[in-house]
Amino acid sequence: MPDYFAFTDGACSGNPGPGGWGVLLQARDGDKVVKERTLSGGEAETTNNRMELLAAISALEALGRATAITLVTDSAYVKNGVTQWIFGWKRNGWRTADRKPVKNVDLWQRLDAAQARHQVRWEWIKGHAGHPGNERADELARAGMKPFKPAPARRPAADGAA
Amino acid sequence: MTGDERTIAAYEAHVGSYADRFATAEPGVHLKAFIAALPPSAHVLDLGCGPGTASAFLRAAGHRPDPVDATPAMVALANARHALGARVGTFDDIAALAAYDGVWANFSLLHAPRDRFPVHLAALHRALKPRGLFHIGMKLGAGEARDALDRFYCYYGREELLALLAAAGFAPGQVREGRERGLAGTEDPFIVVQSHA
Repeated sequence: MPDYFAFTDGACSGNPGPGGWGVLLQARDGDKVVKERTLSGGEAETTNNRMELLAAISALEALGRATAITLVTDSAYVKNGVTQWIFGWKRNGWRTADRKPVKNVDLWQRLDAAQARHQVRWEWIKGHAGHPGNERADELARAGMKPFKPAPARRPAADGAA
Repeated sequence: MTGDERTIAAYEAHVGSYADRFATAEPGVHLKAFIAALPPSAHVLDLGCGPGTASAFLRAAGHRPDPVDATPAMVALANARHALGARVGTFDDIAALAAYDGVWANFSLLHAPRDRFPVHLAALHRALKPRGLFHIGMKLGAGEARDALDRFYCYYGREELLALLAAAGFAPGQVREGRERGLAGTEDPFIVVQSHA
């Protein structure tokens, strides 16, 4: 049985602004990667936290069957949210301790549903610190953002018609 | 125009196995995102509906699908399984004007010839209401090919596809890409773009 890992990362240019997310899924037999899958995506107007959440969601939603997986994120927001804060939010009907609506509740609920299908071990690592899996997830997130980064010189004139 | 005869013949010959391979109990990630972004009771063109799986999920979500496929056996199967009112039509038959709230073109337009693809995108833009939702799924790559079943495929790069969408008047809202590498090498990189007319 291989071990499954997901490296996830989000990127955002401006907050809010164009953003992207990236996922590297690996099946490993010891140190050997036996299978690998990448996913990336982006949106025109979003935030860094939303992209970090969407990366984790996309990783878990992409798994065909119930899987025991280690999900590695450099987002303390995602890691702490899903391993600690979410229990209180659910008790409070998706409100924070001071009764305010939870931010990004649509994505937190989706993450909650996605992780319920699997056995997830959540791991936080420091971002941009040379971890190969995290670096590749970061590259994918930036690639996912690329179509939405303003490029004034060659932006097609679609907006006027929209 | 009648669509690519060899591609249609391939689907006619494999209609049963194709339908079973894509049968699922719940909508996939991309269809879920599409459904979530539609207005209530949306009128949706399901272009290249195949056995009608997506249209059945759309209807279950309270929408009004209009499933169309160029392969008569697929249309018959869609109607037999789900009574969807699916109809036979090719990409060249898209003539509606501001009629749809959404278009679901999930890995179907990859069968269109390269020189016709921009024409089809323009026709879909006209068929959508203003700000209508457009989902397109395509395989990433370059050139054209026929697969082992004799189906014709046309491949595009990401920038190329986004430029063609923009030229047809679509502003991309969400882009999603994926690729997989197993022991057998790279498998079918794909791109899915959700945009508004």
